[in-house]
Amino acid sequence: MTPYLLRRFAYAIFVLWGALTIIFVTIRIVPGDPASMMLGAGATEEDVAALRHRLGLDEPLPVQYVQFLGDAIRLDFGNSLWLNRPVLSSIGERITATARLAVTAMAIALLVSFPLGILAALKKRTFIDGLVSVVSLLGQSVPSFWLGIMLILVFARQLRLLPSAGSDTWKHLVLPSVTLALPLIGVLTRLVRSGLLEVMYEDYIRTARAKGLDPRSVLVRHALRNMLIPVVTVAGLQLGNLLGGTVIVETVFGWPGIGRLLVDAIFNRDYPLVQAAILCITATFITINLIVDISYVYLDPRIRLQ
Amino acid sequence: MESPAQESGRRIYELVRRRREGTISRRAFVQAVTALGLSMPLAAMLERRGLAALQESAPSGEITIVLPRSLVALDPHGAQSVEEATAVISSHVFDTLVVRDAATGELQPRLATSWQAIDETTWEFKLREGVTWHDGTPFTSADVKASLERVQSLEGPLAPLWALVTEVQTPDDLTVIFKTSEPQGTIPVSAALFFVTPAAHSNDEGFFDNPIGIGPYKFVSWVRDSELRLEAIPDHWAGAPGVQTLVFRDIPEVSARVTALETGEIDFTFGLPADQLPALAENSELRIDSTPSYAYYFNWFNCSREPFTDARVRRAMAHALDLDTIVNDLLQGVGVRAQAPIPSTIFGFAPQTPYEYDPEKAKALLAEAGLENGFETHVIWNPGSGPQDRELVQAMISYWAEIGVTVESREMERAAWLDALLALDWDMDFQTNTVRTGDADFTLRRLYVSSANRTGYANPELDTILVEAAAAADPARRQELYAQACKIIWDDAVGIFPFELLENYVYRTRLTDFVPTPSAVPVFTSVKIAE
Amino acid sequence: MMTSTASNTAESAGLETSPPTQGALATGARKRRGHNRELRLFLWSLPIIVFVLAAIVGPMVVEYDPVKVRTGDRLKPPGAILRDGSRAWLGTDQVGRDMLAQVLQGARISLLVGAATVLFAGLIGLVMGTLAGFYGGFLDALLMRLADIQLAFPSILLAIMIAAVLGPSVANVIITLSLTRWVTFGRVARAATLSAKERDYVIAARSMGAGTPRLLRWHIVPSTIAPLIVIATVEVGLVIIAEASLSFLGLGTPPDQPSWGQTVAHGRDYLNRAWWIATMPGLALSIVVLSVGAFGDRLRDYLDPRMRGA
Repeated sequence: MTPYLLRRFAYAIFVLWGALTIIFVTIRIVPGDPASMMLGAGATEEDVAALRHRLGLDEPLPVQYVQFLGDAIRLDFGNSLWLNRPVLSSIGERITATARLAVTAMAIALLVSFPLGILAALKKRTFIDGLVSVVSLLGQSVPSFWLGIMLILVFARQLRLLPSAGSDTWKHLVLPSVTLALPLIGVLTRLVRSGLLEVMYEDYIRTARAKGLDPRSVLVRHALRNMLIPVVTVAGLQLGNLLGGTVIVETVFGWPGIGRLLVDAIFNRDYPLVQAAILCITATFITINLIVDISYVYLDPRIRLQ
Repeated sequence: MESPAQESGRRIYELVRRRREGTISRRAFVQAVTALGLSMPLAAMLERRGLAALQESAPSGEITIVLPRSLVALDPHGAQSVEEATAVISSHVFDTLVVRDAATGELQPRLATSWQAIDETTWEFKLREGVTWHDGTPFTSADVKASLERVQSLEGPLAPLWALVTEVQTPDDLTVIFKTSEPQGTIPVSAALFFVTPAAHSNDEGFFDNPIGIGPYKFVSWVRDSELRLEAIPDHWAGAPGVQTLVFRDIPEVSARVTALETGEIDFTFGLPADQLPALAENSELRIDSTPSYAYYFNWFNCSREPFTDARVRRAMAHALDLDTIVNDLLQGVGVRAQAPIPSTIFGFAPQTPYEYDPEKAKALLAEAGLENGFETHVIWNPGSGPQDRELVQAMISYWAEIGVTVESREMERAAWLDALLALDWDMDFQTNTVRTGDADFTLRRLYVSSANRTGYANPELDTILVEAAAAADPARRQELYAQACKIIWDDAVGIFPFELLENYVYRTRLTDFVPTPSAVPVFTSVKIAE
Repeated sequence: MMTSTASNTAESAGLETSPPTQGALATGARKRRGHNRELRLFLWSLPIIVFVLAAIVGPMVVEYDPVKVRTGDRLKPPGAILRDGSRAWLGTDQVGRDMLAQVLQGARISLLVGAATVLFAGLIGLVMGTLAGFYGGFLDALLMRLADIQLAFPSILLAIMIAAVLGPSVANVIITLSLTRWVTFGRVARAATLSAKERDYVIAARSMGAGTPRLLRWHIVPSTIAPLIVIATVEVGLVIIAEASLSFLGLGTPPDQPSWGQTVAHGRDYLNRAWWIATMPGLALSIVVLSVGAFGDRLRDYLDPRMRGA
């Protein structure tokens, strides 16, 4: 397993470098400039030029790039231009808030989609199956901001059951995590269903059945276990995406997550903050997917990491 | 500038407070109060009733406020210094030398008790005695000097206001002298936007994540994009605030913000779209205070680009708009027709002859300029800059189409818009603007002198007027000069100045004694909670 | 969100290994089931056909004029009679434009964005995936790492950057979305290529001296098409939703060519006062995305031999 991990680590470094390089270049190509954003609409050209010089933005791009890579290796990302404080502390706070939301949403999605998916598979091609399929698709078929606002209007404004926005208590967590979970339920339910159906026709399951084993124990011991691989893969990818921030849901519900921080940072052309945020998000994503890959070994003894 | 009566009133207040705390005896209290000129029976009554009154007025309760835009930074000198959210928090935690009275527009003493121009290039401010920072350190002229130098060195948006100040002198702890390179009459006005921070700490790493203030509220905590908490200073020199805890929450989405106000999750917000107001006005649990503001819309023409180099074309564009209908249909409760290139709330405002809605005249003007078949152009704008901006752009484009002018709407994100705006890379620019100081100089000189080159419009006559107006110390003379400037900008149609905006503060009726401000920087010191 | 909500659904469901092969013997019962399946496939395609027709014909019948606003007729509810005597069946928007015309115009834009994006992303994915799978080695590693970078990279960011550089236009929205969505197609195409490469007939063709272009053209590419088409049906819906997300952030189609997502995003502040502005196009959007998704599911069932024998 060690050589495997080493290789994966090398890949991870490559992917991180690639992501950082892409962001470094693109954010500098994009029109807009941190100096004029900091100075506002009243600034003169000389003011902007002076500030650009102070920030080192007038250096040639390759010089800036080498400087940036050097700093990145030492994990020194400097201060945010816009918040005027160390970027890593801002990002740390935000990733925690986003993680709370993402993990809750994923938990809800898994808790709902397993029973739904199994039900649909067992009642294959019945009315129930069709209903589950349509309901699970429905969650994916509405824009999340529309869904979020509707949930606020119904549960906060009309019913007064839940708070509309904020992040203080568990009650604040309900609406945003449900908004995030609904599309996931759609994806995962269908995966559970199709995974289960697929496995049920594998030879070993047929054999187990032919041997007269109780169909229910076959389902639990063999089928469910094997179906976990696609589910875990996709759940891992999705969790990685969610941890990268969910700017829309964070905006609608006033949640202080990394997605909003990142988008605001881009809109403000806050180069240091954008670069560090991308690094953290990419690293989180890679880590989660590595965990997913390693988990395969435990889910399916036939798989060997190579 | 504090009158003797005010002064003794403050002392009596202080004595009552100390008596309540038990730091002076009843006897010492009565003696001290009679020494200030009160009769014995009055002093005795004050001893009994004054205490009760003061006890009632001790800060209590908690209110939750949502600002229209997210708070980005607490540093009142840096890049965010003109952001309203930053100014709101600064107004509570920090303080300014002078303050513009919300009701009268007059400058009032605050950390400075008096100020005067000693000569053409020297302004002297006398500071208030006995004021301390929240950590107990006394407030002195060194704090003012350090803060001003910080404003200048950070090169934030406020720096230009102080660009002419060459030196800050501190002859003693309670005197500050600003020396300017040229005469500058606007120094006291600018001082109303200038927040003083502690000289000893302002440049410490992370100071503004946990600042030590001097205002009526002290900083408690801040979770970015979530919540900021302030606690009242009960023994503040200007009197105790009414509310103990101010909570500033961040809710960017309008629907969520309105819902939170209706359900009572929050108590106070403002800057809502016009279409949200009628429903809120019908809600008996809410109150709306509407007040003219320092903000207004303009639609600039790039006067260095064809065909807007021709003033007739610019005027034609103005005559094409039915502004009364637009105000009536789209801006009810949030805007009115503007009468000058600056809002009527601003010092230096002088009403002009409106461009009446007359499409025929507009077409005739275009024909005169050789454009009888109309032309194609575009307008750049940044969504979210003002109420109903999208609807206004669409409506104006619709009216311009009627006179044969095809206008493309170029909606841009803020950074890209700013880039284009400053580079003069546009035909027309539609935006809101706020005269932060409440004084015409802030807007007119900054934006319309030829050297600023913001619109491609250059007029030496206007330049002379604006420079002289900034230098003059006599308000009457300044008013007269700004009236001339308004007329030139209006008649030459450097832009269309369609609407000035109202600020609508919406809050739950349990709040009382709120004083609306035109600056979109509300202050909650006076607010009380009704039970 | 812009993130690919179901991007890997089909991939991980083992689609790439199951090109369409003919099923086994068809008994009477199976035949009936087969008809059923075709019927369902057809039923789910009906809403799509209706909306495609509406998108083509609608704007010709009910003319949408993005410029003309009638502020006096704004925020009128569905069925209201306007000042000029006409009836607004779906109400009017915040500047008094007819919602019906806007929803029909939106169908045109949204469906165009959905279809064109899937086409471009599919083509990019097909080329990248087939090359990576066919040649393997360094090229494969390079292309797949590029895909990894892109998966790990928040796609919303790329979208903001591209939109800021290129400016708002329907074409640019399509480019943006294609560039952020090719990875799914690429991975599926690669997997299909890998499995096709090992098939007997390909090995046979190769041993008979068939050249690379010939192999790719006649043997490899055709076997990647079926899984790509299934993925495409899933992706069309996701792309339409993703475009709505761009609109929410102010990076969607330009104001004179409003997509459904654009109208929903701009109408969202009116949900408590004039619900129809955001709801009418939202409903249309949801119906289409739902139908396309369900159609995709049925199509996969239909094409997948293992599901057939069930």
